[in-house]
Amino acid sequence: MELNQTSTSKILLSYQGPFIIDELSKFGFLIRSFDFLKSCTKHKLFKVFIELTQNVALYSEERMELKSLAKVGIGSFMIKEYDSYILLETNNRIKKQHGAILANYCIEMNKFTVPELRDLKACKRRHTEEPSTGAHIGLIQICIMSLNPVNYEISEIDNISSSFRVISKINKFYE
Amino acid sequence: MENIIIHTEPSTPYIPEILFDADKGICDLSGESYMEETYKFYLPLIEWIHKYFIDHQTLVFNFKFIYFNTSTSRIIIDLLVMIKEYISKGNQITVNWYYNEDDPDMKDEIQDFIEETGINIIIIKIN
Repeated sequence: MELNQTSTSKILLSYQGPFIIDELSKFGFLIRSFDFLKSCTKHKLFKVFIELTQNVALYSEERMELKSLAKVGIGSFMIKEYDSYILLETNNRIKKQHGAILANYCIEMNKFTVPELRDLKACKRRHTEEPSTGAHIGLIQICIMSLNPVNYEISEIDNISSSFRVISKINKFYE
Repeated sequence: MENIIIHTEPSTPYIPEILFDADKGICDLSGESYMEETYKFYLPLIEWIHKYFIDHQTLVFNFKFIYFNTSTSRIIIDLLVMIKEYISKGNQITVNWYYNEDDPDMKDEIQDFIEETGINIIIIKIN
């Protein structure tokens, strides 16, 4: 995926911390109130946002215990607006050994067309367990929703952890 | 048999509106579904359906989701497979799915459900 990082961008929303569902839903509400975007674009942005952030909530290695004793993932997200597209990125900690597996998922997914991705999703959906890294079917759905390949970056933090940055591009003017 | 009634609250928009009415023989699911513990939420609904078919033979499902995440889509697949099994046992079950014409992604999802489960879903477009 080509990202023209030199063009002017504007940060619409950013957050760093625990990805608690109540907070994510409030951000989702904000996204749906982006009236400067066409209806179809902001609804796609909302769908990709929920999938990407829920991946972090579920699978980030960095976790926080809530009052309910449930644990939620910690990470960050940022939504940037460019002239003709929106970029949505998340960042979270992963186990170092999962980096290569996740990179492989992204590389493989990016080779498929949308119909092929839908077939892949159907195949994965019937499995009752997520692979050990989690997040696979969610990433497939993000590619389908955004109609763009997913961009990713894996950086080593220390001997046991890496950071996993996922960037999804949503084109404007779907309507 | 008790009905299941769940209302969506503004503070929890990720919980869908649910009406499972044994007297009327309808199961309505609407709104959005992206809660954290998906299986925990839907398990009572699945159990209700099993219990319902002990004494009943006819049921209508009305899906009116605006959005659901991939975790929910897994449950929907399980639900549709279960419905198909009850149909094969001679029960009369109708599955209606209402979608907004401005949401082509939802139409694709419904088509995928039909292909994956082999169940007949009546797709109804709304404005």
